Amino acid sequence: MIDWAVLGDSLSLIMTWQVLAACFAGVVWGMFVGVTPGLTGIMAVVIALPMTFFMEAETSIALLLGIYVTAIYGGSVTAIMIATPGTPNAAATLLDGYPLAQKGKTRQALEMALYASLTAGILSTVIAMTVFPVVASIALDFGAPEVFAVIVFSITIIAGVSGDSILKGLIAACFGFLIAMIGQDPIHGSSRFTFGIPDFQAGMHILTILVGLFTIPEVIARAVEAFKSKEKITVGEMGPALTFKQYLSYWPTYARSTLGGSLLGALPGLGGSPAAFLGYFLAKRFSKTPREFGKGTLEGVAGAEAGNNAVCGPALVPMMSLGIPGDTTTAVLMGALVIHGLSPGPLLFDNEPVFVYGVFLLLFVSLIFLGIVGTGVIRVAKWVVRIPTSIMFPVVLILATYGTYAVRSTMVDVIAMVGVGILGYLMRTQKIPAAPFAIAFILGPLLENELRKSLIISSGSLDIFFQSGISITFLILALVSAVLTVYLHWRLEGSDAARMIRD
Amino acid sequence: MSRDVSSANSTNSHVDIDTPTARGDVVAAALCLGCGLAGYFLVIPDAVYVPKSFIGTANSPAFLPKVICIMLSALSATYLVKSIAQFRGAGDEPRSRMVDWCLAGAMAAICAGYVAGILVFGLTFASAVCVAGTLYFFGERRLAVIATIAVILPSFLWYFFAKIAIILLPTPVLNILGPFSALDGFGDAARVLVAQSLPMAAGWAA
Repeated sequence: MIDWAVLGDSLSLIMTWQVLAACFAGVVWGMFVGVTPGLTGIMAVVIALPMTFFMEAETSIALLLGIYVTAIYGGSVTAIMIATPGTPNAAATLLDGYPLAQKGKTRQALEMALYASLTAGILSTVIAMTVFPVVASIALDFGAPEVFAVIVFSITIIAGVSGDSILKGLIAACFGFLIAMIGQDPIHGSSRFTFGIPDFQAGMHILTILVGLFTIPEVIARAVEAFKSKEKITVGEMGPALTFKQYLSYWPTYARSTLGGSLLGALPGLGGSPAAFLGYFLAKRFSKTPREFGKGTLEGVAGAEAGNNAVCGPALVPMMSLGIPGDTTTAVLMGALVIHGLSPGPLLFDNEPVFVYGVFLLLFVSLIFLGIVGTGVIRVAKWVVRIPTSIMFPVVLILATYGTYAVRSTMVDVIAMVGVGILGYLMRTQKIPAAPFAIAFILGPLLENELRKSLIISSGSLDIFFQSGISITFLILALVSAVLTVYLHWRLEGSDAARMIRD
Repeated sequence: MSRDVSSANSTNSHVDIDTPTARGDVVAAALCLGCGLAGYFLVIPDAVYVPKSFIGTANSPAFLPKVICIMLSALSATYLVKSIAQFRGAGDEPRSRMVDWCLAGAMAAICAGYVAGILVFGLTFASAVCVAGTLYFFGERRLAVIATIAVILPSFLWYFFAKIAIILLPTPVLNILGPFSALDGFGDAARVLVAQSLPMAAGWAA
């Protein structure tokens, strides 16, 4: 439970102009990086890291946390407006955010993304602070088989985001798995599908695949539309603002997606992208209008954004309490702590409780600044939506190319982006959904890694997956989730069939 | 597998390119099945190196790719059977317009040409040409707008990525903009001049 006296000391530790200024600067930099395709949160943190060498520990963490929290939200702005996820975490937001923008509800989508992010960020930080010691002890029980079971559960999301046809969704997922296998095998380092090209050894980057899957098909589709159209088409309309009633109506969605995102955030190695898709999936699963998902519903944006932003607070828990970074960004944050003489691990909370609570309070401060900066970005967005598509999409193509190249400075990524883009367009013409492809690409390497580690531990026996309560629970949940999704899909199909006959 | 019934039953002879047709489903399913089978029988044996001690085990680097290819083949076969059945029942189904496919193909060719252009002429020059061509393709006919965007956008991106983010841009086969790199020297000289002249100016003012 929270020690209020220590919390008071932590508050006085962070309430200095230096810390607040550093946090605000981090938020502004994180927003810039988030909305720029190709610049990821990890790049922003790494670029800022050398500046922190000359700062106090709390000031440097304030700067880095500001970037960390904001870059996750920033990626959704471009995802909603121009179908280009600024960061991989924003891919799930695109599924409903971009259709909303096309319906002339850009402002509602952007505001929902911002407020869902803030809500989930606050809730997940409260969860992280409250259950900090408990989560730390549970995280220790997660070995390879348990993480494998969690990933299997997460993979059932594929059926939920397959749109009208689960069969097509599964086929897309198979392609996603296969593309994810390009490069070195995670255990032995054997080359797979590299065809002797050295640049393939490192595999495909997630941002390359996401830009290829979502941005290039949109550019091609808009080109066909623009060429035939005689009128000037703009990117969209800002439309009405989100009402407080609309925001409140999605509270159960925020809560569910926050819980899902917090769980994945607390587990090392999963990160924000799976959490965003889990949040989206949970929103759809419990929605009264699941048919509207993928066509532009605020609930989808709320679920995805709540899911990915719920990762921030809980991801710090295993990093600070066990010394296990949840993802690459938290690994850099851990490095910053070490540089300032703090040793993340079980003794950190005992030795530096004021600092630990200070870190969580800084998350709240970052979220407040995110609210201010995010509102400013939404005001600027009204100028962007007035740009004609005849100008916007050629510019998007160039930005996407620079962004994709910048991630790893290799032309192979640009070639892959165009290749996946053309594949994505062909998939789009037959309504083969892109989201399962993306999910499989994200989760595939994690799944294989944990599966093979488990099999090495058990000398090839599958019994290892049924020896712990955690893995059995998640495998049962996965089975139930898969069966339920197929059943619900069948039932919805049935109701459609009934409507057709009636009509 | 659901279908956009309204469009499928449409009396129009053509449908939008984004509307799936039973014919398209058959082609897509056949291609997916081909990919699955080719992956299992041709690509994996050739392109996945398996250490001898792991041949045939679940821990082999080829195990999961094979499982995925089998799944892909099985799912694609099901998709093919279903789509053939739908194709037979579809009757004189409307087709998407050939001109739409040509336009989409042209845009895809512009993207592919852009990549080839980057390799040959460099990112900045190829981007300038590509953005100009794409703007024209998208219907923009004002030359001033096209020229302004084609010059300012790649120049800004070059400055941002090469000079601020310090990202090494790809080296082209034909380094057309190479001579312009000499301008960097002028830039440095200007900066030094300004840096030295400012204190002098301050001294004179005092």
